[in-house]
Amino acid sequence: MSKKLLRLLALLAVFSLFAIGCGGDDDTSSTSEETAEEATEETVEECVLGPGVSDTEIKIGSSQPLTGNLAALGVQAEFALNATIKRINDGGGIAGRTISLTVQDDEFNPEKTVTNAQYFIDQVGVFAVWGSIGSAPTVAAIPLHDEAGIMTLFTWSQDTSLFDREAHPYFFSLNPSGYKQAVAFSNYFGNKFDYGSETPVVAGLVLSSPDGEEAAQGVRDGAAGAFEGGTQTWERDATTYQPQLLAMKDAGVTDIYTVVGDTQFAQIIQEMDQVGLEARVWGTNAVVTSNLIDLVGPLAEGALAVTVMTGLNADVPGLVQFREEMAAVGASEADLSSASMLAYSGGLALEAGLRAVGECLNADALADALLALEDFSTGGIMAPINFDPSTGLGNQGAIIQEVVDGVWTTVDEG
Amino acid sequence: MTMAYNEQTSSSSASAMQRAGIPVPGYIKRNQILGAFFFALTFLVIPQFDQYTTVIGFILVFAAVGGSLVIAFGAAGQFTLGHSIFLGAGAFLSANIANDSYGWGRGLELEIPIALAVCFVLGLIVGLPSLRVNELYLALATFAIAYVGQQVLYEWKQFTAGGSGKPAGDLTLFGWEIGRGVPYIRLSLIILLIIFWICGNILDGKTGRSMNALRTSETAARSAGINVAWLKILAFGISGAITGLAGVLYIHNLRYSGPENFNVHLSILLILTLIIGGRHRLAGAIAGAIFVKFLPELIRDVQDYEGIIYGGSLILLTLFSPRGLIGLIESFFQLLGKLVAQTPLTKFLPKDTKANISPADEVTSPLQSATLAGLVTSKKRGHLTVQDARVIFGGVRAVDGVSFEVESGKITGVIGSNGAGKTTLFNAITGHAKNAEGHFILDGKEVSNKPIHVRSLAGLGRTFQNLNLHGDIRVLDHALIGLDRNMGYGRISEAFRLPHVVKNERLAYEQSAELLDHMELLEYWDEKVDDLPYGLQKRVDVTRGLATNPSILLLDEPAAGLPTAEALEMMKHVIEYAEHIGCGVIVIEHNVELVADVCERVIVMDAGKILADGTAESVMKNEDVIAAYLGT
Amino acid sequence: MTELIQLLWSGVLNGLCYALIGLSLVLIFKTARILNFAAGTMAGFTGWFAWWWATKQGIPFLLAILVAIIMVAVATLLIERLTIRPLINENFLSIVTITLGLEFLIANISIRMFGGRAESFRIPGDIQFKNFEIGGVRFNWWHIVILIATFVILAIVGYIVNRTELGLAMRAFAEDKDAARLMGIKESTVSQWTWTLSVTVGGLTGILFAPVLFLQQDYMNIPFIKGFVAAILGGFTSLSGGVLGGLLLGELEALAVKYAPRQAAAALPVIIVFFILLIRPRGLFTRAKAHERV
Repeated sequence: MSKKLLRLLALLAVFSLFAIGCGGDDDTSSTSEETAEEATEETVEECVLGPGVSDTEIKIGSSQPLTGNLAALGVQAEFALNATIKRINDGGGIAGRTISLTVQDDEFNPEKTVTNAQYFIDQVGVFAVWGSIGSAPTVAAIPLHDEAGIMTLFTWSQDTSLFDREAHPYFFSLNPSGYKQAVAFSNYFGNKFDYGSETPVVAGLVLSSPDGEEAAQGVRDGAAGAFEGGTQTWERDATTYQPQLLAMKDAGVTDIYTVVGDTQFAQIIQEMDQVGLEARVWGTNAVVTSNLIDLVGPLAEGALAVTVMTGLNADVPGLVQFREEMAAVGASEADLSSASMLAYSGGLALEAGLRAVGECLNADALADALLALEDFSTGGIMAPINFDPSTGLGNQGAIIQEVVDGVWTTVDEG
Repeated sequence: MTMAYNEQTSSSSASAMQRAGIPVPGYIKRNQILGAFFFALTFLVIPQFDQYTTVIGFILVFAAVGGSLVIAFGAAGQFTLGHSIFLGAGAFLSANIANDSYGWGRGLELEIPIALAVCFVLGLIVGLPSLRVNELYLALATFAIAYVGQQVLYEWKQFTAGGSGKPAGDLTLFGWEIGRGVPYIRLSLIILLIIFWICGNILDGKTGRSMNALRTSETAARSAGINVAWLKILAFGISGAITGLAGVLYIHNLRYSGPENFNVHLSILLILTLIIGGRHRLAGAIAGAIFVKFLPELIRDVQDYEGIIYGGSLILLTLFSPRGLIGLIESFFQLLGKLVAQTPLTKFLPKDTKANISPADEVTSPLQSATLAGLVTSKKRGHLTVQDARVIFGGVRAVDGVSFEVESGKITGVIGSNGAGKTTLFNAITGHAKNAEGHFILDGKEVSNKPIHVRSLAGLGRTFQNLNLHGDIRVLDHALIGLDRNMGYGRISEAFRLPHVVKNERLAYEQSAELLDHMELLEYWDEKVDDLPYGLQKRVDVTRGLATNPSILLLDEPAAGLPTAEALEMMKHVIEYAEHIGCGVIVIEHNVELVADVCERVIVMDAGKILADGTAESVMKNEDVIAAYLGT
Repeated sequence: MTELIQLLWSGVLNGLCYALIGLSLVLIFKTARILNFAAGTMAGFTGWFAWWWATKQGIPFLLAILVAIIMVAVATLLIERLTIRPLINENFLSIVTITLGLEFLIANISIRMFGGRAESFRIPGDIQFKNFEIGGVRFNWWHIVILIATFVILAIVGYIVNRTELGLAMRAFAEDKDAARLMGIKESTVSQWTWTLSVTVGGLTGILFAPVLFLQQDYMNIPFIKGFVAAILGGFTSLSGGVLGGLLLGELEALAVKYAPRQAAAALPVIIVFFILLIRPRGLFTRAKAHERV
């Protein structure tokens, strides 16, 4: 009896190995909608539409942190996405197609981002995933996107591995990597910034992680490296930052470069005041929000940021339009932030690209169209956009903003 | 000392096991066939669900971890909040082995064994706190470990690339690339099936029984010869290894691994999954995983209220089914069975075999049965020497210089008023009194200062005043636990249920059944001891002691609370069996009639010292004894 | 010297947070042997709730706090009655699972009610922005308020536990559950008031630290984990141990930033806790348990 059983099990095992290897598809998509258009009389040209594209509709998905401690970003970005969709659809769509947007919560957890990605690809059947937030979620989900031929558009993630169009041909972004932003700050500081008569001491306050280390390295590699006064790191679960700030006070730091979110930035500003550290504090994209001003009031005055976008007070047509469209989908003033502006700018570029492609819409066509954009104008929200063909990054510059009279104002168009 | 397997069964009378209808241990159980059927079904229909492969992948990972926790937590009772560390270790080991650019570029053939080995050792280390603390304190210690473990992951930049994390390598097996989606799921299913098979074998064998024993009563488990400390650590080792393997599957599903994910929340979720499903069953691991991972998929349209739905379901489920989803399903089927029993369909239900235990055809004592007959010996054991035993608590001299010697195979009684130090004397002999002094020699071997289980293995058996039974475990298993020490198979053989494992199990079951029959407990073989009346519980305690095949058995008030007739009957069976296997007995009792009836020699204790020592008759006439204990 | 004092004071601030959370956790654990995994979420919800009354409903600051605390206490009584009491005789795991379910539930309600954005809890007079100096060391007025409030809370809890009948009943239950029941102390009463007290302490912590940490979703979750570790350090059955453990952890964190090598700074406090557990499994501040009877 036992010998028979063993033989049966062995047979089963061998059979299973074959079944695994041979069964199923290599990629996860199985419901791609591919229709072949008929050729015109003159040209024998077949147009293969991308997945999620039909005659009447383009489906787009977005995985946002709508709960959890980054919920603010997700909610703000969602407003901007909706504003863009509304603008496009109200204007009659593009090439006869309206855009339908599906947003799902990923709680900033890569596990959820990945299951959302499969949901988008296999159940909704999207053409692109737009506006993901965070490095980890994007890095986790992008292999699925790539395998299904889906575009990964205009995310807010800084991981360097993403900016590689050979690995990720359908990745386009308007937000530079952390390293680049740090270099931009450093060069601006060293070459253009008027730091007064005393020799400045520049320190980084970054998360203890490779992202943070890259940022610290960027500061050193740029012109401000000459004034480097050490880097302080904080841990993900630090409750307050006072010990780090005290160490900086001891070292006589004059300028602090941080890579944090706006609430943490607010906390840093507040605690600097509480420990008596008088220094300039610099942030990145994430801190340019009116929420920051709400949180710390007059203490925010004089805070600086190195961003890729203009200040919220700037009198540029793009910003005016941004405000109007956000209001039309129910956003309030506090929802005007980097998260929403970044998503919105991405929306402008996306619209331009879609219009350029026209009827025969697929991933390659859109990629080409985006690359073909020259000095694309966002109405002043960002510097003119040119997508770099090797990285997929749309802007390289740095705009310097400062809180003046309680509003983020552009002080230098790097 | 292994038992010889006697092929010749007693010809005419049916064995106790047959009469009681106890299922014979085999290679496969009915549940396993059912489980394999569902696995095969899933295997086949998976392509229909290929839009859910990512979620299903996570379900399988969680189910694997849950299965490992059925061993560590369900069986061994170790409530751990630190399992995320194994998942993380396995995931990053996989990343570093499988990735082409910065790793070795190898496949599962290396990832799996290395993850198993590394995480087994890691588990042994993580399990160390379990030796010092129990239950909730263990939860806290493992919580701290998980926390530290996550920090280590963040800081160990070469291994994990810190906050950035590492992408997964390709999924290959011996160079053969396995596609994402359905092929990956099928592979995971097979791995999960193997994991569950091994876990099931462990749970059914001596390891599972020992772990359940230590969960329900550590004291009694030690007395049964179980090395509780090692077993606890082993539980962590096994569970850690399996979770590490699950980590390999995890990263291939997620395709990315960052230290952020392996946090305390994940640990809590891992054990919560098993609690939801039902922690004593492997099926519970699957049920829990499906609930935890699939519910969010079902409520995508109302995601805004996911927390309320999810948390609310959890609360309702716990309120109505504290034994988890599996408990709910079992109750449902029980209810169904009861309903069907009231209709004419009842004839299709399997008969309840328990109630009809036919007596043996001949008046044959179980002692003559094939399995127990082999134990008979004329060689007596149990020569116990106690030299100057002392136990002092604070200022109290509970045992104050007690010395005596008991010949092999003799039956001795110990009597004395409450507080005389009788139980404490036992505790000193068996090792339950930590600060005891003195020398104890059993059959020429010195057992002083040895751990409890070592003394037990040397031949010291005992019962307890407080019973210390294994609450939710069957009567039959209490006997099996005693026999486990003599099982002739190792843990690795057990994991794969090799033929000699089955052979040994069968023999043990037979012997246990005969022993139960001898002690008139056979009809209760399937009852949980908690459900039994007090008198029967006392009998189980004694039976457990006998099952360990002791050289000398120390009975601590076995008749307490029993009517004299019942007590005498029980003691008669005990003595019979003791004589059969040649072991000695020392019995503490207050029932003087019993002691006089059963013991050749009686020792009287008072205030920690021996007051009198002689035959029952002479002791009872002793004036000091009358004054101190018997009264006028 | 002033730098050192400033550093130590910063450690005290965190320490007070952990101490209060530790206190709230130990209260439940000591009496009912339960880990309340929802404690962080409940504390955060209370902070948000107080803000909601003050800002959205326009109620005066102190009144808003009072209303929020009272409503949360009442809600806790209800929750205890409905979800925890029925399981009081079951294994502790069932109740632990309930607290996990509560965590998800309350977090969801919180975000639906209060939105995802970060908010500032403005104190009248903006005293959270006002600092003063003594001998070169700078102190913030709101931190002083927190310090005072903590003492008051500890005093009140201490009074309740040590000098009232309820406290006596709680301590009796902590010592020996079965004996206490046999003495006629109603378990249900002890349970409901212990929970209410614990959640109220947690809620006050959430309110006190809202101006420090800003109101965000889950803003009390990380402090909760730290408070958990602190309670472990203190031994989990000693109220004062939990508090002292919290302060100790806060100081360890601050000192680690300054003196420990960067790699170890984060893990160091917890590693220390772990080793303390190995050496003294019952924590630093509890006495050893009496000899167990066999």
